Amino acid sequence: MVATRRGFLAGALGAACATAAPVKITGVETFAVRVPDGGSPDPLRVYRYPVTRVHTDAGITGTSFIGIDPTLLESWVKPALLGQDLFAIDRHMKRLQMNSGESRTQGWSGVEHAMWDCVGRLAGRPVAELLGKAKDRLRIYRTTVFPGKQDQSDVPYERQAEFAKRLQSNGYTAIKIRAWRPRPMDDVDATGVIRAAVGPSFKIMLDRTAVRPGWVWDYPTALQVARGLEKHNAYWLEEPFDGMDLQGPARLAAETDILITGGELGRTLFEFAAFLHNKTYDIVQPDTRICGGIWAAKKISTLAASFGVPCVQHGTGGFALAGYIQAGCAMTNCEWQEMIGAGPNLPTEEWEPGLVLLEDKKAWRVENGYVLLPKAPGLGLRVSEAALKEYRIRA
Amino acid sequence: MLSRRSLLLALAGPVRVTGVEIYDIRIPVTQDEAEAGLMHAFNVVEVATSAGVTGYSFAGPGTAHLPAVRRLLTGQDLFAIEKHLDNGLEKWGGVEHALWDAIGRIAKQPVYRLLGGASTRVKAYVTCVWPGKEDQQHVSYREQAEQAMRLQKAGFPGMKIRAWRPNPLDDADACAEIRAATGPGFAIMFDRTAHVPSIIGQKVWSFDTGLRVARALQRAGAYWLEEPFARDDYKSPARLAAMVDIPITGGEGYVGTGSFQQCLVNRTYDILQPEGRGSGGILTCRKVASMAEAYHVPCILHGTMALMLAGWLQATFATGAEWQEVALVRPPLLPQQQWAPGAKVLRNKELYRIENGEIVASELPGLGLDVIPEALREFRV
Repeated sequence: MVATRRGFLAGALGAACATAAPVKITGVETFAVRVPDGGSPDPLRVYRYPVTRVHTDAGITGTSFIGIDPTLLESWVKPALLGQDLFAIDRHMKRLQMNSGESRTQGWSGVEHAMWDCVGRLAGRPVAELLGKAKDRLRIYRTTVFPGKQDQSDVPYERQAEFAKRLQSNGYTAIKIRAWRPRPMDDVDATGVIRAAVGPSFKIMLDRTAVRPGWVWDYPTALQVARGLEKHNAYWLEEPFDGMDLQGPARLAAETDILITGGELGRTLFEFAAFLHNKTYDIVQPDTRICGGIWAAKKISTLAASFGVPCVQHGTGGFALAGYIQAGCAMTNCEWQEMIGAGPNLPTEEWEPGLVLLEDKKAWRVENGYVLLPKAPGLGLRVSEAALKEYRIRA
Repeated sequence: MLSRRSLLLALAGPVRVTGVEIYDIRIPVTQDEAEAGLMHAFNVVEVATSAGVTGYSFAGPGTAHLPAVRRLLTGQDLFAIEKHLDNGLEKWGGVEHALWDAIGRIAKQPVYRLLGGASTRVKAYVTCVWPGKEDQQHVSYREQAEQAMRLQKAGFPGMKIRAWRPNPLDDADACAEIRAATGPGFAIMFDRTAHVPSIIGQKVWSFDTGLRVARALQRAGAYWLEEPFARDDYKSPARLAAMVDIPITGGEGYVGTGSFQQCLVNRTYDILQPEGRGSGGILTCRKVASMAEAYHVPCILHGTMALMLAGWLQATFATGAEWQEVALVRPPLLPQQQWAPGAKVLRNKELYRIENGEIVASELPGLGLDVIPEALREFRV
């Protein structure tokens, strides 16, 4: 009798849920687009955008603005992914990470972001919402490298202070500058000049970037710099030592009050476990392009949170940020999103030429120094098929 | 391919929780079926949303929690699971399951596909508890061996039983008899369940007892020993694990991720077993698995059965765990027999597809149960 009634109910009331067939990856491609520059390109704006796309048998295509090496794509990524389950990102990531060198992990990330774009578009929701969204906005800090020498030794402190004030008057609340000057205390003095210009609450971060300046501070130098930065109420000092030095940053963090941060070159969850075990950094900074993707970044954030350590993603510029913003909004312990400028400009200025690539000619909303999680599905950029075709510069 | 216009229209507006209901249902069964232990009473959670989609779970927390759950969720953003957990949702894993069911239904995808989609099949092991004395001393080794063979014949690759007998070495003897019956290749797990045997007056094992039992179980061919010591003792399981070869497992009693972090830092367990509901739910289990991955520690969910299991399975497929526990099964039943009445509230004819002892992921959206709302209304207590 019950069976009969059930048959009646199922037949008469409401349609059954539709099953969701598996979705297979049918194609992966990478190319670049160059958008019009009006005849006189502005060095502070971005006109060239790398693109990676993942096509599926569901008729949905995912797009990321992170390029991948075409040779790697053909020899390594495509054989691993074509015909495979779009949703099995965890499995693909492990498989590809296991036989990867540094460049290869980076190679995979552009594809991973595009796969998430696909998953989000299929779901009709922003990716952050599929991962257990923690927040709807991230506070922006603008990383600014000024034109001139790489070490910024020819950049007047006042020039840095003026630009910090410009950020501030546009609602931004933080700037990061290099700590590369040949005399390390000069960067402390620059910080003092910026602090005097912006007042007490604006955040000033300094980035030593480990080995990239060509020479690594010794511990006494780092301690002297950190103490000097403390006096000017700098917010953090990033990668004061070699990126693989687990103990140096921990010692400096224990000895000073300024936050010591790092981790942008960490490629695996295991490296972050080592940072966390050794209390290497006060804040870990995975880069979702380097650590294996959005999904890998969420895992690292989870691990860091279990140690009570904030996870603030290392950033990028241009539309590559799309995946970073989704990942950051899925993290409980990520307050900030770094936006790296091509020079002293506002993020909105920098990506303005690229807006022709988007259906609605809008990238992200920035309000009071925060970037808002976009409402469009996937990675949140409504990419124009026609524009990608029109501005494509490389097959 | 979506047209440009439809992509423009496809803005994902916010989805709010508009209402929560928690109630009991009782699916009609015969008295014989009820006495045999067929699962027919469930605690339902319904989460209504502004998208017009309703999420369901059968692993609810009891109607007494309804006012607090409503205070937490009504009017809130459906998708902000991390925020809800932070605000106290952790206590109500079954409610979290219903939120994910709604999310999956809106996304038109099974939840596991949204959380990494690591696998689509999982080996099921069946935890059996015989009616009668909690410590199972009235159950003959032979009966346990027969149930193991019954499961094996049905394709299941493993069984878990209690290690509660008053003389703990008796359980190792039971293991030997089961092993002789099943031959090699069938997993036999033992569960001491930490302090839980105190309900029948037993104490948590001393380290020496734990070591003697673990060694005896290892000799008898056991697959793992679960929770030999107290749950807040992060050191003794690690010490035991270092002295024996069989995995020492645990974790079902922890809420949130903090205790699991302690387990990993202390190398407490060889395998972590977050509870699919008690830990905080699907997302918490997925997070524990991520943490465990950093330590090369497998994460295998503590289980449940019948309609409740749907949420556990989504977490399991998302993480790619090797096993899913199906518990508690009352011999001589098979899991499918015990959960059969649940199909009366579903359009899908079987709750879960089992092939060769593996549970196969459903392609239905959300938690994978195509619930008939009218049936719930009809069976509501």
